[in-house]
Amino acid sequence: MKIIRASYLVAWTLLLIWFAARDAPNLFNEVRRDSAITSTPDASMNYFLEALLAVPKPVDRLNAILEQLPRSYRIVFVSPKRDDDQRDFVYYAVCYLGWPRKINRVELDEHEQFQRPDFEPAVIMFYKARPSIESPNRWRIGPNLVVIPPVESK
Amino acid sequence: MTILVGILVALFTIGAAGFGITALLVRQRISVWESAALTWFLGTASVSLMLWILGFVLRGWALQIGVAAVCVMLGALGVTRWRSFSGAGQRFVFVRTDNLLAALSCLELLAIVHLSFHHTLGWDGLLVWELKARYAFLNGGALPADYFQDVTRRFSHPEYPLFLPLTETWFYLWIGDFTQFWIKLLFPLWYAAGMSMLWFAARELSGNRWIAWSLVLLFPFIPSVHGAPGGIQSGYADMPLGMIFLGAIFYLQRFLRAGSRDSLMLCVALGAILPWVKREGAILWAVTMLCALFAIWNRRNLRSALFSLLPGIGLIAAWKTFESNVHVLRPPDFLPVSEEFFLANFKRISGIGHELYLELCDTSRWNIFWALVVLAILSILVRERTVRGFVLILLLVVPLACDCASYIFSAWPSYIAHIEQSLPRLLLQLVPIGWLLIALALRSTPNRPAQLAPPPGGQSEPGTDCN
Repeated sequence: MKIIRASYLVAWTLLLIWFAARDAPNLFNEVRRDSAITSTPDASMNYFLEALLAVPKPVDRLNAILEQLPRSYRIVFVSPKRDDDQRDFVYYAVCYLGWPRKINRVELDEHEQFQRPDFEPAVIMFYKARPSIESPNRWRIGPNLVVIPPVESK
Repeated sequence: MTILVGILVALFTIGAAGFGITALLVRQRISVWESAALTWFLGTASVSLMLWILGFVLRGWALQIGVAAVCVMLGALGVTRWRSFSGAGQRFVFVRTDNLLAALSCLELLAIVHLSFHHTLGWDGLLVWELKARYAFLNGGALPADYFQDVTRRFSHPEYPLFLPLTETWFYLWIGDFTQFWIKLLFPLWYAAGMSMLWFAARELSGNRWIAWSLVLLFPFIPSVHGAPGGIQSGYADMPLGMIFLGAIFYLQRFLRAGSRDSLMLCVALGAILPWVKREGAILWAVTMLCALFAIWNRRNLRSALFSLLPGIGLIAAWKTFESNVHVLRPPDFLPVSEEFFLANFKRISGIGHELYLELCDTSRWNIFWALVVLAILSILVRERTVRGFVLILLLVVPLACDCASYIFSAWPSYIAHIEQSLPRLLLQLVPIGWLLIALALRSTPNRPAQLAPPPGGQSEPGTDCN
């Protein structure tokens, strides 16, 4: 009986050693990996948006634009209709930063063109979509995001 | 410097509230590490609840000072009560090998802190949990009512409970700004508290402190725990939920074994927090309390058993009432639970089972952890065959079955995609209980069923010795 009990414990010990040995290199590599973020207030959001908008400090840029726009202005986020996590993330990031504004979302088919909405004043953000509204004032955040202020603010 | 002072004040107030509540719940001293874990669990829960409740009438400094004052009062009450306990309570006595193993555990904790600060918050950590903390901070400590009805922010799940966001808000209020960097300090603290609980629970289940140390040291060797969405580093609520569930099970196990009032109170208190952490917490609470209900009924009476349900029911009812009053948007992920949808989607069962099997076998995410858990369950069924063994198995299997069954009502165009997205996180909540099953399987001399339920008062509180 003692031998069976000892064998049972030895088998468990070996299994647990195998368990640890399998993941130890992963854990070690994770710990050794360079830091992905800086110690800034918007560290995580900047990290993701920098990759998607291809500009440094995109949160600061978006905040600077949002600060110039009265809170009563609605924002419309225009992007191509595509099942795309990246597009979703940029929209969610604008919502995250744009509080308390309502951020509507419009998704365009391949040949569809965005028409300025009936409600005004509205700020239009084109993400990976060709801006279909003429405006002398426009802000560009990297190659993928164009922000067009409402007509009133010209 | 301001950030550091803010963090310390927030930690102090949480500690005061948590310690006060712990001391008010027990009748004798408990060991330092156990009370430290309870302090963190009960402190974060009470501070977030106070912020929510007082936030209906107060904002800004008034809210901050009000909550801090209650925390300090609770702490003072706790210290007074603690001093009145006899000195013959539980003492955690380190033996020589413990020092080495404790040092290794501290190294592991440092690695977790390092990982936490080196990773970004995950998608949900940022857009579901931290988003609410930020909005609450900008609104003086309470989430604005508009947020709960904002269709354009439905993606952030306004229907989720506020344990994690309001705990984060508490730190923001004291730091004086929102910070996606420093807030990551919170998650290793839940890990540390959970490991403390795991040590005590594993030692009592296995009867061996070496096994307890081994399991604590092995805990992070699961890729999902340290490097995947939902892990400690990502700022999700799943790991805190799993750790608090572990605490509730630990005290349930103690109650099953010794029938002590203190264990019951702590089990009820920790169980009641579960629905406040995440919606799935209601399932974990229900299963825990169902097991506790029969044990309490058996050992005491039906009235005590029903009374133990009150804190959890009260919290769930309060949140539901709040939801209906502020007209919280319904979650877009699930269809209403009805016979019609159940029958229409019942054929999904095989697909759900298949996905569960694939997930449990995914060694790139789980190492061989679930294989070890299955082995442990088989071993318990063969060797142990005791009530507490069956209870532990039920506490793993029933929540898992409920989580899987919920996909019958998935409203996603592809319920398989829904499973792939969320099942790994639901499994993370059950990892600590998996370790408890392994601890029980490693018990060198299995219990006999007759040993399980000593008469009330017939046995001292287990854990008073630390052999």
